[in-house]
Amino acid sequence: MREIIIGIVCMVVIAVASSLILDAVDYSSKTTYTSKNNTVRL
Amino acid sequence: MKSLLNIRWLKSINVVLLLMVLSLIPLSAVSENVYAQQNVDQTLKASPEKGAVPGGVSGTSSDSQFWRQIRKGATGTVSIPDQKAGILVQSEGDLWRAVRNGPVSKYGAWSMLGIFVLLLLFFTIRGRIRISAGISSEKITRFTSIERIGHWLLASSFIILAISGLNILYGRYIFPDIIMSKAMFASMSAYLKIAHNYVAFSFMFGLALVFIVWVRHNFPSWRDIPWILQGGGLFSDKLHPHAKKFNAGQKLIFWLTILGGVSLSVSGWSLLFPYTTSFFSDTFALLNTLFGLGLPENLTTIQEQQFASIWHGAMGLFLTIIIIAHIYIGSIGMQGAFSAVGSGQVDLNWAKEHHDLWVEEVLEKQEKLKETPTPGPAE
Repeated sequence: MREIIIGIVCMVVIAVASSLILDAVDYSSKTTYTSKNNTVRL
Repeated sequence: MKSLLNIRWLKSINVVLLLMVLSLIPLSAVSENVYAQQNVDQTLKASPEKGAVPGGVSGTSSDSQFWRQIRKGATGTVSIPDQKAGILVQSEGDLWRAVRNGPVSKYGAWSMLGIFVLLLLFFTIRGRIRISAGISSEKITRFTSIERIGHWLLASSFIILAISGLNILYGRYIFPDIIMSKAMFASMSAYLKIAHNYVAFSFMFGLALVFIVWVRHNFPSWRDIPWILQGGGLFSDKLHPHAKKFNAGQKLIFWLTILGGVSLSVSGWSLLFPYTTSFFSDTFALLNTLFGLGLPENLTTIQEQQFASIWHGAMGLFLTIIIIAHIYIGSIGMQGAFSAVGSGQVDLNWAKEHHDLWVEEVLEKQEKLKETPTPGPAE
């Protein structure tokens, strides 16, 4: 049963860590994206 | 006599008038034709090419032609970096909405209801699959700690993703004004959406961990064929087809989870980071190369998002249905199955009935370890 709790705790920890990392990313550095069909994307 | 003459005179006038009227009919017809011809000539002369409006009164462009092209997704040019803003009306959006709110939602709901009915029917007829030889006094280690942590990391993530995902697809039909107020539903949906976005990364970690620890046991083998032909022994207490650590049914669940999970992760990534991927264009290009399907390869950014949304929803529903069946057989459906991922220790008789070849392997290893002489202290 200990592993069930560890698994759930891992799930919460990874989710929180992901949110902190993604919120810290500076998205303004990448404003455009060019695909192979030459569409410039935000 | 005089009146008689008057009558004849009147008659002659009538005849003349009649002749005059009759003579005018062809004349008027001719004149109408000429007039019409003149109109056509004038219109043709005044009409510019490509359906533009003649006359120059309301401009020379045809509004209907103009809006028809806009409606079909004609792309203009814009001076801002976001070039997709050059499309005013994206017609594929209609199709996306129709497919998402139509077949995907409809058949998804029916399939989920169907799996519950099927499992209820199976439980009613077959009952709980019990250990035929009865509970043994011995236990055998089925899964190690890391295997179980991987399983529960993946399972707990999937449950949250499934609940929050189902809320995105069906919540608006169930909760507002029936179970809770619109405001409460909006708040709940917002938090569930945030959870969905970030728990997705836990799911990806769990998927990777489960793949690493279990993939070597899940490659298909010839022993899977008799297991499938005997229905995995699910329909009889006396039938126990041979199986190693994972039987054919578990291998199927494993690969569906891994491949479906990767597919969900990739399409979810497209939705998390919109307009930055071209997964569907690339996939369609690969499929065209392999099978010559003629799928569209130059998808617009919006189309990429729409394909990702539809695929993510459909694949999520499919996996949810598969996992409902998995949860059933791993809990109330089979005696002794849950402890495999619970405590990690399973009843020896259960193990012999469902994974006899694996039990033999484990016992052989234990015997070899016992036979190996332990090195004594150095003299």
